[in-house]
Amino acid sequence: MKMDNTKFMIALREQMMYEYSNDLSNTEEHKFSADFEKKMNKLIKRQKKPYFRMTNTVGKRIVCIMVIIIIALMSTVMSVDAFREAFKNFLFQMFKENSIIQSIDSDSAPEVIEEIYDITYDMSGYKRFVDKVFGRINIEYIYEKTHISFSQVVKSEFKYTINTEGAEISYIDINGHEAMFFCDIQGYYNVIWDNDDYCFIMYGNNKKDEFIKMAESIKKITG
Amino acid sequence: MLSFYLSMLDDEDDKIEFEKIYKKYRSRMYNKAYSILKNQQDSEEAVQDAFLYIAKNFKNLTLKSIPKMEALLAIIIRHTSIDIYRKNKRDSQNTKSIEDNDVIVKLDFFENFEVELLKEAISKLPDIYKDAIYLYYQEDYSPKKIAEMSGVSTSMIYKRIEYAKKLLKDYLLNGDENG
Repeated sequence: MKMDNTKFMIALREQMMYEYSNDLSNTEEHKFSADFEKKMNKLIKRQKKPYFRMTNTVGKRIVCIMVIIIIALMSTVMSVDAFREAFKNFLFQMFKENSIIQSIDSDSAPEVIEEIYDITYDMSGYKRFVDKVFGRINIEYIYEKTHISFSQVVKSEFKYTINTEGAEISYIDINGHEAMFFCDIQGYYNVIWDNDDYCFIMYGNNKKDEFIKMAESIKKITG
Repeated sequence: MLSFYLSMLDDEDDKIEFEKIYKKYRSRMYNKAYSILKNQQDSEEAVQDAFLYIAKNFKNLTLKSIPKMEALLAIIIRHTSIDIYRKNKRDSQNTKSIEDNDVIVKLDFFENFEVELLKEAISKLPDIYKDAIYLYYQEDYSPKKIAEMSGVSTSMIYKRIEYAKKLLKDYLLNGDENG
């Protein structure tokens, strides 16, 4: 529970409200440039395209082009088997630094989240944050420098780019389901699986044994 | 331009509210951006990025009261401006010194000091650290959400929060002598 009446919280609230109010105190009207208007018109046109979110910045456009080129190369010139692997119900494409993992078995799975899953391991002391967006629920647990992130995603929406640079990927059992497990370059453990209805992805920077116990404790809590 | 932002909102009430905010604050936000970037083109880009972010996240922004809403708008324009400044300067915003920080400072530590002294210490923090602790402790934003708003990684937000507390502690114990 948040302690609003501590000296720290009072000082933080009073000081920052004062500063933020000052930040927007200059009310002088600015006449925006024609270039500004032109840029926005371009964005309007792009926004109507279905892949707008993938290409709405120069960086993203470059990444998209590179990904298309790499996929095309892998599909034609290189030996695909060495880089692409079907892991249970996932398509897993591994590149030098990042990998793309996507569910390929969504026909009979729910299109929306009908049942909510969560970690049932004792998370006393952790601060819990929940983000709900269409087709996925992200729950983060934070205790000092320990960070655990768990996401439940409908299969049709499950497509993640994960950092597998230098990672040794292994497969473990999570409550009877085969799960992909690895430690990433930042020292975070990652585990990904599906339980036939939903896909789950969890990562954390705690100890390996505890991390796996947390993953195994994930259960349906509503629905 | 406004129609573009509005097209990203589903709810009619949200559109009306957004339009009010856009018209009232776009110049104020431009002026804030300009105070950081000193350049019209970059400042307009910062305003554009800020309103795109606001439109995309309108339902998630807790615009409960005018002071709280202004605080969020100020943070958003500050971060879109800093992001552009950082890209221009290729400046990593003290990343190295954050990496070196290992000490956890508990909030209980600050209860030993008076509110006015704490306020003075907070005022000395760089903006990115103030914003991180304000959003995390005061607005209950998750580090992931703050990271999205700030254009940096989630782990960087953890580091900023911890480093902010360390800087506050240093200031409270040693005053300005550590710079």
